[in-house]
Amino acid sequence: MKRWGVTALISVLILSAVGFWGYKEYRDKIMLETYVNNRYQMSFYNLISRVQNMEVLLAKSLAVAGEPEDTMIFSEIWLQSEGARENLTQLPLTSNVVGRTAKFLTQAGDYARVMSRDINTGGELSDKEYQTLSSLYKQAEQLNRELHNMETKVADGKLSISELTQAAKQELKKGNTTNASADFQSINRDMQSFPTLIYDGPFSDHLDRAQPVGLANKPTSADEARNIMRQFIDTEQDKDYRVQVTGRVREKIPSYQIELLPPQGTAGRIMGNVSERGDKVVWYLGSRAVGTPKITLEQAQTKAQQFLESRGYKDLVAIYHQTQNGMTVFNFAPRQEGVILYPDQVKVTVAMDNGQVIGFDARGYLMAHKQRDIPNPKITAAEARKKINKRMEVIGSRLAIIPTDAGQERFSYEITGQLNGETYLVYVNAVTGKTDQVLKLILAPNATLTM
Amino acid sequence: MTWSDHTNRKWKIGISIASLVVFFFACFLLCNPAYAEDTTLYWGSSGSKVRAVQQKLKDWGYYKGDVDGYYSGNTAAAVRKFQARHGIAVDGVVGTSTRIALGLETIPKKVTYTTSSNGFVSNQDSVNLLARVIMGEAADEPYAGKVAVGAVMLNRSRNSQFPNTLAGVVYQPHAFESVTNGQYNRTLDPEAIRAAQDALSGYDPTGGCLFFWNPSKPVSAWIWSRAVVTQIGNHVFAH
Repeated sequence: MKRWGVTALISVLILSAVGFWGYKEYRDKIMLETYVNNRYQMSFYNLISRVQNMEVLLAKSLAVAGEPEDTMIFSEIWLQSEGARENLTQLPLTSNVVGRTAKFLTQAGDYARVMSRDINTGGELSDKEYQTLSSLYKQAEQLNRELHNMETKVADGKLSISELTQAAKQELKKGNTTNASADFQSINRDMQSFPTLIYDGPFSDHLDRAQPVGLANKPTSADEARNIMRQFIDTEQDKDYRVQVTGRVREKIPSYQIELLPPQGTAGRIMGNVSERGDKVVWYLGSRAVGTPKITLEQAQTKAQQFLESRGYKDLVAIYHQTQNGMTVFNFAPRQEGVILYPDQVKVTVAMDNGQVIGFDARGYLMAHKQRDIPNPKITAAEARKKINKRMEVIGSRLAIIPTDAGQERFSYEITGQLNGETYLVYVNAVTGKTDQVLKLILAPNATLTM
Repeated sequence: MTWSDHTNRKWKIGISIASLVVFFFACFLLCNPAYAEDTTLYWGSSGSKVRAVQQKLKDWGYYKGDVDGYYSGNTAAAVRKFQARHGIAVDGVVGTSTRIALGLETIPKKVTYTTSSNGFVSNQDSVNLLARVIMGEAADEPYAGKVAVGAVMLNRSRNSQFPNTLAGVVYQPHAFESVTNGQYNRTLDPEAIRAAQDALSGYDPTGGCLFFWNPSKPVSAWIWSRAVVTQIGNHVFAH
């Protein structure tokens, strides 16, 4: 009897201990879940209020005349829509459920930003721009209404944002949409009907359609492509690479994917693409381990320049470089009539242990390079210098063609100046005399970069 | 022996005569101020200097005519165009400043300057974040496949359908399995860091892809509706 009693007592103690531990774990789990769900709820409610602000601001934008003082409204739309995009993409939903909605938010904000820039420089709202703003307004209104409908369901307890977490997991596994995300999905579907938006900004739909202009029309066969890559790469001690075409790449520059395998037992696979027309190497990257640096930056740059020249990339100027992990990436741009063409860049990575070129990328060059019709500047370099801050000490100026974020090109004076010990590059439009862009030169011990 | 001495003497005389001639010629050049200063080229000038100018202008695409050494109207037009591009007074005459700009004369010693920067700008945060996801998603992939995974994340941050920051993309709920299950928190190997750096310097083996998945693992049917661009290692990449 005594024994029984002791055993029972111990069992009860153990059981209660386990029970207590389990309860504590359970409580912790509930707490964590509540915490996570609260974060999601916050994102959801922030999303609603930001979309509502967008609706109101877009309505206001239709009422103003497009005077420079109205830029505030447009900047505010941009701010609200960027916030809304952040909130939306923080919800536990997969990108196929929110992608189109996020795109609408991005484009509405980006369009407003471009409008604010344009009216600030004295442009008036055209009829077409007015129509675009109206359609953005209508879409924002619809989105706001649908989100508010969802909010009603959430408030009534018919829909729970926390359910989305579970739902998305199932969705990933089974591929069918569950009730909870169906509302978001239907919003996303409505967004499909929103027309493509073409304007002077980085998220304009026309940028998806960019085609390479730097390629000849001659078709390249797979066999030719193999040889082109074999001849092009900077081989290390004439290794006997086995070259094979491993597939096709259906990107903007349709290419053959080529792999170069070193002899057995040695490391350093090289992979790259050769364009399907025009016989060009688009990029390649080696993967051999790089030892301790033995060559100087100048030697590496000479090596990079020689590599490019021997492969048909002549008269290129080194524009910036960065050394990391014993490798230096150099960026080069070509010149035409003394004008630097920044959109047509070529990248070369040099291993600092033996100077081998282990990476090359000409995508920018092949997409953009062509003979350009460069006009004569309407303003002189001296006039351009007057446009920049008087406190800045000008070091030099030269002409350049720079890309805009909307895929266009501007003809500008690149003025290098120093202010408070920092170096800046200011781009003054050589035709209009307006400042196009300001870059700050970052001079780390291992790099010069422009940002 | 004697005849060789003789020839040596002959040589010496020859050399001294030649150097005298050169000396007098140089004197003539230097002492003739009209000739020495006459380096400004204009319509009607001719000679090797004009040829040099024409060659330069032709190399850079300003001048379309023949390199014949005659400063004609075509040459003047090309010079004017060149001057306009380089912020020199547009007069069609090749003076000192134009010659310097053409690279035919060295620039007078300029004040040297040192470039410097006080700010703190670093991409260390992006490298770490990218490398961790590359480690989590593509640890066993070939090197190009690792760079490709990094490039996809950077492409997303520049796309309108995704968050606009790298952290937003990495931590978007359900975007990357290794982030969801915490596997991306492993120790980084040097190759993952190198791949992250290459992706950040602009290498993109996928040509702008936004999705990748392993076709041998179960994935949502929706993902196959994307336009497949290429396959690298075990991953399929798509727009």
